[in-house]
Formats: sequence, structure tokens, C-alpha cells
Amino acid sequence: MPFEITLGDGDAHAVDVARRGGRATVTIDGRDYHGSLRPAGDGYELTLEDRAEPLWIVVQGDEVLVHAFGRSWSLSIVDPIERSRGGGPSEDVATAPMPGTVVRVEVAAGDEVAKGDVLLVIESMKMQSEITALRDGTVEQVFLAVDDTFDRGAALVALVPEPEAVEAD
Amino acid sequence: MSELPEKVLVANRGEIAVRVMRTLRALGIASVAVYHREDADGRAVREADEAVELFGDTPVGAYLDVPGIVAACGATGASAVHPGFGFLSENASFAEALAEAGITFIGPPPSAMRSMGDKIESKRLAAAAGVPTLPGSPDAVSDVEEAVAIAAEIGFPVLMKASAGGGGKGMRIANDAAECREAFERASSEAAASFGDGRVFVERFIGRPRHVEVQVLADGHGTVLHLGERECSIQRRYQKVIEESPSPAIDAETRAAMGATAVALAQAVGYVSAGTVEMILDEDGSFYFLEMNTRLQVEHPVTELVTGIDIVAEQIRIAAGEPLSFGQDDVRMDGWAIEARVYAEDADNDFMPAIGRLGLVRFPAGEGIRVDHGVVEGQQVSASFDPMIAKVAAHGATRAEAIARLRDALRRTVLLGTVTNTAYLERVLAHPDFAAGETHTNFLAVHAEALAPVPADADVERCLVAAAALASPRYDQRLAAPEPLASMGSWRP
Repeated sequence: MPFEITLGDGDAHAVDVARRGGRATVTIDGRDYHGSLRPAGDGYELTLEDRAEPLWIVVQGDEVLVHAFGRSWSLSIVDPIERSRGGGPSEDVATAPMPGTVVRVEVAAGDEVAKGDVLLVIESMKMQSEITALRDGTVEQVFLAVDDTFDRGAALVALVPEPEAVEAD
Repeated sequence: MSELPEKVLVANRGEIAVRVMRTLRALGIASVAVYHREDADGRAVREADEAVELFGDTPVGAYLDVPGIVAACGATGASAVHPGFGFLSENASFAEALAEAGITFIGPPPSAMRSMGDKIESKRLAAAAGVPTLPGSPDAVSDVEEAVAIAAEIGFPVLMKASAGGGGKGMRIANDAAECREAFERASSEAAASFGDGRVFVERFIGRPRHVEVQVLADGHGTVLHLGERECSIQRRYQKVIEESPSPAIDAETRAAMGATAVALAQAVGYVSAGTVEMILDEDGSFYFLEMNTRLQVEHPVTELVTGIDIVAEQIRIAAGEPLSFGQDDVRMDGWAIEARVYAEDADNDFMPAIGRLGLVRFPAGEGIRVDHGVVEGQQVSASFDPMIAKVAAHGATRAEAIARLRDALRRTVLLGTVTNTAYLERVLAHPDFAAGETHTNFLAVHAEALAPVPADADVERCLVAAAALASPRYDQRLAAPEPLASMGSWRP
């Protein structure tokens, strides 16, 4: 079963790889391409059919960062099976809308909160903003402390999952 | 004969600390870095001969710790301090604290820093020295109705700006009396909150201004020279993004007039060291005093590239009491230089600041390319400091050659692990209006649509997807997994 690879915010491609020595067949959305990726210079060289491109690559888990064609790109790899087990985004975890620093933490584990209550205050680009609860519930965990820095999408505060959201098994 | 110091402490961080240390090394002077622990593994600490840790309530606070820096000089035997830019570079009390401890401040006298640091006072001094100033309020505006009356006299639109401001804080534009009232209240309260000084200055607003500034050098023996101009019109929210020297809008006659004006102001305030007189250039060729920066500028490399003069070395010699070793006629501008500021920010997502670990760093090199940077591979880019992580500059015989070289250099600037603006900078340089020298301070806002990113075409996307697939360990892990399906991969050699 192939993995899904997405460039930036674009559409996912179903991609599989079959290796044979230094060569590989990369199947993208059902079409086969012969290719290779080999160290060259201070980076790598990608060949794909009759095309050859110099590039630089950093793999961070399922995020692949590539510098090619004069700029950097970010691609993500997802296993469709893992995703079907993991479930989608939820209201259980408040995440960071932008990178920044924690200015104040207003709640602690065990606190009861109502939808809209301020969980913590963050600062980004010298502007402060409030992170609020997306539903009523009980705080399970606060992941960061005052002065901690975080990236966009980082988990900030988790609420105890609602009973109906907990799977039977 | 004065002697250069044997050891200099650099009270800064990042690329400018590294750049100052490069000149110290060239002059045979030992360097001392100071650092907050977030920067302990940074390039500045590695390049310095010695390093002293500073502490503060915040990472930035560490670099503002005056007693800590004075103590670090004592502990290491540094007899002089170079402040770089930002942090304490324009803080007269810092210069005085160093002087009290018998340490040389590599910069101007505190009196000149004070008089030029206040927008109202500096404008008064500039006018007295014969420097053209924008029509505006001669003094701090005390209340809103006075501001409206002055604005009506000058003619709308007007700009309101904080007396103690900087970096665009406390600045507002008003097109009529009603807007003027609102702008005054907002500028004043913003300035009071940011600087503890709510005084506001009203002046004529110019619609398509260019930002042109003159680099001056003054020694302690009365000689003041200028090193030509830099145009820094490519700005976003009053922050410079691309700078060049010379300016595409200036001829030899205007250059001489602006230069003479800047020299006159420096002389009038008893200026010593390197400084920059910033001016607004109107479309009709008239120019007006904006402010004087009493320190090394971020964009000084473009002047160094076209004049061949090491401005930091001159600052150090001047601070040691040496007279300038050349005259105005010896200053020649050769070719064209352009600098682009590389910021850790997402230009395609409202310039959101970016952080992350720099997993791979490759900077370009080659003829006419200069890179000033302060990063090392593996370093964490945090939100604690200014997002500028490097300056990439190019020098060419012509402006077109400098643009071509800088575009190529930016395409070869590899910073993987955080998001940077290199692709955006290249799009700015590629814009036909930039090539034509049609630069003004609204450039980035006016051309925002044309500067938006172009999505990858199908061929490029296929290459990138294939590269990601071939680089990802995912496909190998799956084959190595002890599952029936995976074991069928035994055909793989």
C-alpha cells in the first residue's frame, strides 16, 4: 500500500517506491518513473527519467524539507492506515495558531473550564493573544510553561477526552 | 601615536558580532564575545577568542546588562567595547558607564547620541545646520487640537510620529482633520506605552518617498567625510529589507549635495565615529532630514563593497584616536552593491515569524558575493531574538550585474529546518520595477500581488515528491517490518 506525499498545502499524491540496486521505480498516482537519489557535491542529485536536479534534503520524521529549483519546499508523508487509526483534529487539544512564547498560563491540570475560557496567553511578533477552550471540560495537561517557545501547530493545553469520544476498545 | 586596543569585547550577538570579530582578527586584536545561554553554541561564541555568559530576565535582557558587560571587560581585560547595532549601541548611559570604568566605547560621544536620539531635538539641530527638514511642527505637539491646526497649516496628508520612536512604532498617517484626531490619540498612546514618552511630532507625508541615507565617518581631529549614499526604499512596515549603493535615483550633483549636508550635520553635533544621516528623497529630487543613526547600520556592507573601506576598522581606529588616513577625494564608489536581509519568517503566510532547528545550512560563495551570517548547522532559531539570521549581498560592475548575482546567491542560500524569506527576496529582485530602479518605500505593499508565490508546476512537483519518497526512511521501514507483506520484499538486494 503506498504512502501519501503532499507538497505544502497541495493535493496528496499516492506514492510507492520499489528499489533495485541504486535505481528505483517511483510510482506516483499510478504512473511509474525511474529515478535515483545520490550524494553529489555538498548535497544530492535527483534523477527522474531524463531529468537531473541538484538538491539538498533534510528528513525530520514524516516531514521532508527540500531545497531545489532555487528555494525550499516542505513535503509531508502520511500512512493512510495510521491516519485511519489516529482520527482527525479534535477540540480536545488547543494548538498554537502561530509560533511564539508563553506569557501567562491561566489553568492547571484538573481545572474545570467552559468554552471560551482563557487557557493561556501567548506573545508573537510583540503581540499578545489569548488561547481559549474550544469546549467545556477538564484540563488534562498543560504542555508548556511561562517563557517556553513553540512553533505553529504545537499542542498547548489538552482537555480530558469526552466519554463519547473514547473508543470502546 | 595612538595604539589600537589589544582586546575588544563585542556587546552583541549573531551576524553582526561575527562581522565585527572578522575585522578584529584582521587588525590583530583579540575578541571577547558575550552571550545568553540560548546563544552558547552560536557562531559568535565559536569565532571569539573568549566568551563570557550574561544573564537577564529575558534572552534579550542579557544583552542589555550594562553592569554585566562592564564586569566582563574587567574579567577579560578588554579595553574597548564594540556595540554593533541594536541593543546598547545607541545608549548614551552605556557609553558613560564604560568611560567611568576606563573602557573605550567604539562609537560616538554620548552627547551626540543623546541629541540625535530625540527626533524633535535632532530635527532642530539639523535645521540649524542647514539641513532641509520636512515642513512640520517645530516642537512636540501637546494636544490633539494643536496637532490638527499644525496639520492644516502644513497641508494633508500628514505623518504623526513619536518623539522617542523607532522601527515604525507610534507612526500614523492622517488624510484629514478627523483622521488627524484619531491618529494623534493612537500615536501618542502607543508611544507612551512603548517608550514612556507620549510626545508626538507632525510633519508632511510624502506619497512616493525613497529612503536614501548617507554614511559619514568622523575622526576626533575634526575631519568628517561621507562614503556616499545607500538607498533602502524596499521596506516592510518601516523595516528595511533590501538596500543598495549607490541609489538608482541619484546623480553626482545630488550625491555631493546630500553628502555635504550630512557632513555639516555631523560637524554641528560634534560627531565622532561612523554614523548615518537618513533622508527622504521626493520624486522631484528634493531631500529632507529624517534622522541620524549614531551607530553602525545593518546595511553597511553595501557601502563597504562599493568603496572598499572597512567601516568597522575605521570605527576602531577613530576610537583609538587615530586621524582618518584618507580624504573625501580618495573615496570612490566602484560598481553597484545590493544587500538582502534573510529573515526567519514565512513571507507566504503574512510574514509570520518562524522558528525551528536548522538541519542544513549552505551559504553561497563566488565572485562579488558577500554573506554576513551568525548561524551554525544544528542551531535552534528561536523567537527570542530578531528574526534576521543573515545578510546576502552582491557586488557587480553594474546594477543589473549586482541584481543577477544576488538573485543567484539567494537561490543558492540553503537554510533547511526553518522557513526563510529567500524566495520572496528573489521575487522582489526579479520584479521589473525593481530592475528599472522604480523603488519607493511603498514598493512591497503596492506590488504585493505580483510578489506572491508561484505554485510549483507539475514537473517540479513530481521531482520534489519523488525526492521526498526516495529520501524518506518510511519505505525502508515498511520493507524491514516483520509482517507477511513486508517479507515478500525479499527480492530486494
